[in-house]
Amino acid sequence: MKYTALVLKNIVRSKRRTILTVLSIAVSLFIFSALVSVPTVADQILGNTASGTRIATHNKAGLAYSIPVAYKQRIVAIPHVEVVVPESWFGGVYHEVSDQFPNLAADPEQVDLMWPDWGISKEQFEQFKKIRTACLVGGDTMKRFHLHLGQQIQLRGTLYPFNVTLNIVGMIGGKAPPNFLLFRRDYLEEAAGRPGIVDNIWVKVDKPENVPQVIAAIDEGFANSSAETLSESEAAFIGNFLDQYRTFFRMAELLGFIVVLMIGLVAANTAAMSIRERRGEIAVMRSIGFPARTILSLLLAESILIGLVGGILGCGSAYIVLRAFSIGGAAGPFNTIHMPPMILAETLVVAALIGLFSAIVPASSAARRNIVDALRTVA
Amino acid sequence: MEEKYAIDFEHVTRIYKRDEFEVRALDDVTVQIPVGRFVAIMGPSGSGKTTMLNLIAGIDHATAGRVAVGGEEITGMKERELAGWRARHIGLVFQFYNLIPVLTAFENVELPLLLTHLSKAERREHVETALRVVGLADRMDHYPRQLSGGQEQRVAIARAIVADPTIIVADEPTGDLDAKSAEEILSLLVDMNRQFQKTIVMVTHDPRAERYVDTVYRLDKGVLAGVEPGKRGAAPEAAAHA
Amino acid sequence: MAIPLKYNVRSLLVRRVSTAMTGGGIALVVAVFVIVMALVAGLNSAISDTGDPDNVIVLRKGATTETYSAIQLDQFDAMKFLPQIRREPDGEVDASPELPVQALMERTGGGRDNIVVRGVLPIALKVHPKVKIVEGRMFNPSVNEVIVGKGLMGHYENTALGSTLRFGRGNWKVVGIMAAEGGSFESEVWGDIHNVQDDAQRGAYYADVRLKLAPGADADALIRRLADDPRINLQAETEADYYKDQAVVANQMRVLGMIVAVIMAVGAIFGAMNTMYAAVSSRTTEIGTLRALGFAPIAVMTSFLLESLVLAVTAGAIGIVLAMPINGLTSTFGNFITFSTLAFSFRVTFAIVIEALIFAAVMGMVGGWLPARQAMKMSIVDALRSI
Repeated sequence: MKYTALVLKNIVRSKRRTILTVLSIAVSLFIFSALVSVPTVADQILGNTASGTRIATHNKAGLAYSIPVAYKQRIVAIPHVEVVVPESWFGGVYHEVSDQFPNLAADPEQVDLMWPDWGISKEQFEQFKKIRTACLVGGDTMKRFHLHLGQQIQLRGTLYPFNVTLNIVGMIGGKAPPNFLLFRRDYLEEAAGRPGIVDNIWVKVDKPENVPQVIAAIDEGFANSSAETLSESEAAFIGNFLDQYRTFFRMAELLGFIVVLMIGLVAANTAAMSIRERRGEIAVMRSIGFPARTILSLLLAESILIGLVGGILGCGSAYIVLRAFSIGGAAGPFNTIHMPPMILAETLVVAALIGLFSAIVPASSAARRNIVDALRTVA
Repeated sequence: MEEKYAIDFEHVTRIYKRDEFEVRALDDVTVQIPVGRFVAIMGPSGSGKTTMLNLIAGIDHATAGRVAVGGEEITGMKERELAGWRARHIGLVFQFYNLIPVLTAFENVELPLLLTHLSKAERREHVETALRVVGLADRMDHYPRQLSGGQEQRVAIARAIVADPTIIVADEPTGDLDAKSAEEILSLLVDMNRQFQKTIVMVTHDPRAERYVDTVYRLDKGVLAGVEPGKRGAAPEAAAHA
Repeated sequence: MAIPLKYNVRSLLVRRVSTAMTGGGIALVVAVFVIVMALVAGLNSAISDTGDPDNVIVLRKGATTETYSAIQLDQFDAMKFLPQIRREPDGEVDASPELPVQALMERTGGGRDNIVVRGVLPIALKVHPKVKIVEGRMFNPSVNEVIVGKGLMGHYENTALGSTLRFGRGNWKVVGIMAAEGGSFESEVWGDIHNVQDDAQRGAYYADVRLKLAPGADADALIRRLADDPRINLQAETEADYYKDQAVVANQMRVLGMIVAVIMAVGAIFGAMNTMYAAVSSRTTEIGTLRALGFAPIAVMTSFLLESLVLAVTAGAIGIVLAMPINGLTSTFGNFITFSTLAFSFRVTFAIVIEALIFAAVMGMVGGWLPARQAMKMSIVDALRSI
C-alpha cells in the first residue's frame, strides 16, 4: 500500500503524543485482558475436567454431610456403571494457612480407570496402588512449592485430628484442575478410626447418553434413606462449585467494561487533538487532489494502527504476567489464571475498534470540510 | 552608566543557534537612548530589531556586551530576578496584542498588578484609570474576542502602563491594524510619552511611525546603520558606532 | 504573586470537549476505586465486625478455622469452669459450644449455595450480645426450629418468618430473624446444636467453643491454660484475632483492587498528560506573554499544575458521585476459606471518599507535572515567536 509511508510518517511526527497514546491504550488493555480472563477460569476448569461420562454422588444436604462408603456396592450393581471411586476431603494444611490447596483421599484400586485423562503414567498409577502413603500432586502446586517426584511431604490435619505423611509418586497434568493433591483413602480411613463414611462417590458410566439414567437410578436407590444422595454430572458438579464466585466474576466483567469506556474516552480525545492540529495540512492535501475518502482512510489507518500496537503491548504483557505469577493464598482455583487465546483475539479487536471509533468523527469532518475554510487555518 | 540614559547598550552581540546554523542577530551594537524619548527602531526583516527589543525588555539574554535599562544593569540577572524586574520596569505591547483570551479586558489589564502588593481595591482603581486613559472604560468586562483589533491594542497599552513602568516597549504595535486604528494607537503612544513622560521604544516598519517619534534608529543585518531625528525632531545625543 | 486560578478554570472550560473526555477518564478510574474499596470495606466489616472484644474462640490444635476443627465433650466439660470465664447472675457459664455446618440452600432465582448452619445452645445469645432477635423468637431446644440471619432474607428461598426451610436432611421452621450488626452471623442460620449434630450425623462433638471473659480477666492466661491443661489441650485466640485472620480474603481483594485501580490510573494519567501537553502547546503565546509581563517561571509551572489538579479533583468528585449508588447494596460472596457464602453490603466510608479524592489529586499531579515543567522551561522569545 503506497500510503503506508505516509501513515507511518504521521505517526512518528509527534513522537511524544503517539507514545503516550500507545502507552495509555496498552496499560488499559493490559488490565482489561487480565480482568476478562478471570471469568474464563470457570470455563477452562469446566472444559478441562468435565468428561462426559463421570458423575459425582454426594449427600443431598451438602458436601458437609457424608454418605456411607457402603453405598459403593449398590452403585456398582447399577447397569452402565463401569468404575466407582469413593473420595473424601481431607483439607490439610501444608506449611502456612495461606498455602492452601485442595487435598483429598480416594480409593486407589480404580483411580486410573476413573481418570485416564490425568496424564499419569501406568507405572505411576501402579506405585499409587502399591504404596500406602503415595500421593499424586497437581502441576501448579508442585511448581508453586518446588516439589519433585519422590519427595515426602506432610499435611497437617484440620478437620481430622492427625497429620498425614505422603510420598509424591506422580504429577497430575492433562485435563485435571492443576493444583490439587490426591492420596489413598485407606490410609485416611485407618488413621481416622474407620468411620466408614465418605464425602463423595465418583461414578464412571460407559457412554455419555447413559448419564441421566444412571443419575436417576442412584438417587432413587437412596431416596428415603438416612443419607439421601444427589448425583450430578461432573460438569454440573464443578459448575455449582464455581458458582459461588459469581460476584467476583461479575465485578471483573464490570470493571473490564469500565476500562474499555475509559480508554475510549482517552483515545478519542487524543485522536481529536491530533487531527485538529493537522487540519491545515489535510486541507492542503485535499486541494492538491487527494479525495476525501483517501484522507479518511489514512487517518483511520493511523488511529487503528496506534490502537493495535497498544493492544498488542497490553495483552501481550498481561499474558506474560499471568503466566509468570500466581495469586498466592486462598484464591482457591484461581491461583493461576491462564489467558485463553480467545481473550487475546478479543483484546486486539477491542484495540482496533477503539482506534477506529475514536478517530471516525474528527477524521470524517476533517476529510469533508470545506477546503477553502480549512485552508484559511493554514495561515 | 549615567541616569539620563533610558537604554544603554555597550558592544552588545546576540548569537543564537537554529539547528546547526549560527545566526548573528545583533553584532557589536553600542547605543545610548536618552530618558523620556519616544523612539523607533526600524529596519528590514532580519535586521535584528526585534532581538534588540527583546534584550531591552529583559526577555532575552545578550551573548556578549552589557545592557543597562533605566540605569540598572540587567546583563547578568537570573531569570527569576529578571521576572521581577520586568514586572516593575517594563510595559510590553505586542503586534498581535497577546491578550489572554479567557480573561476580560479588566482582568487582562490587572495582570501586571498581581505582581505587586496592592490591595484589591487599589488594583481596581489603577485598572479603571488605565482603561479610562486609553478610552475603553466602558468595555471593561468585554472579552478580547468581543473587541476590535484597535480596541484590543488599546487594552494592551493600558496593561502596559497600569503598573507605571519605567519604559514602554512596543513590538510592531500597528502591524495588524488598519490605517485609522494605526493612527489612533500611535497618537495614544505619543500621549503616553508627553503626558506621563514615559520613555517608549517602538520597533516598527510602518513608515507612518516616523511622524510620531523623536528619534529613529536604523538597524541592518544586526548592526546600527544610522540614527536620525523623527518628524518631531530632537538630535540624538550620543555618538553611534557603526 | 500567582497567576489567578480563574485563568486556569476558564481555560479548562474553553476546551470543553477535551476537558470533559480527560475528566471522564479520571472519573471512571476513581469510580472503580470507590466501588472496589467499598466491596473490600463491606467484606471486611462483615467478617471483622463479627467478633466480640471480650470473647475467646477455642479450636482444636492446628485448626485454622472452625470449619475444620473438632472438640470432644469431655474437653468442653473440663474448660467450662475455668475462673476467667464470665458467669451470668444465675450462675450459668458464658461458654457457648458451637457446630457450624455448611448446608446447601436454594437461592431465590435458582441455584444453591453453601450456607452456614450453626448449631448452638441458648447461651450463645449471651456470649454473642451483638446478635439480637429482631423478629419472632429464639428457637426451642430439641426441635427443628431455627432463627435466620437477616442478610439471607430476599436472597434465599423460605427464609421468611414462619416459613419451612429445607436443608440438611429435614425441614426446619423459621421462628425468628436475627440481626448481628452487619457481622457474618447475619449470613447464618442458627438451630439447636443437638438437632444439627443429628442431622449432619456428626456424632456428639463440637467444632469450637466461644468463651466470654469475666470482667478484668486475663485473656492470655486463659489461652495458656486451655493449651497446657492435659484434659483440654486446645488452642484459643481472641475473636478479634480470629476474625482478623479470616478477613484475609478481604485483604487480598483490597490488594487486587488497588492494583487494578493503580494500573487504570496509569492509563488515565497518560491521557491527562497528553491533554496537558496539548494545552501547553496551544497556549504557548499566553505563556510567553505571562512570562514577559513578569510572572516567575515557577508561577507558570504552578499554574499549569493547578489546572491539572483542578481538572483531576473535580473529575474525582464526579467519579465518587457516580459510584455512590453502590453504597448499601447487598450481595453475597463465596468465601473460599470457610467454604460458605457470606452476605455483605458495599460500604462507601468517609475514609474511602477522602482516599478517592487524594487518588484523583495524585493523578492530576503526576499527569500535569511534565507538561507544567515544559511550560516553565520555555524560552520567552521562542514562546512569543510562535503564533
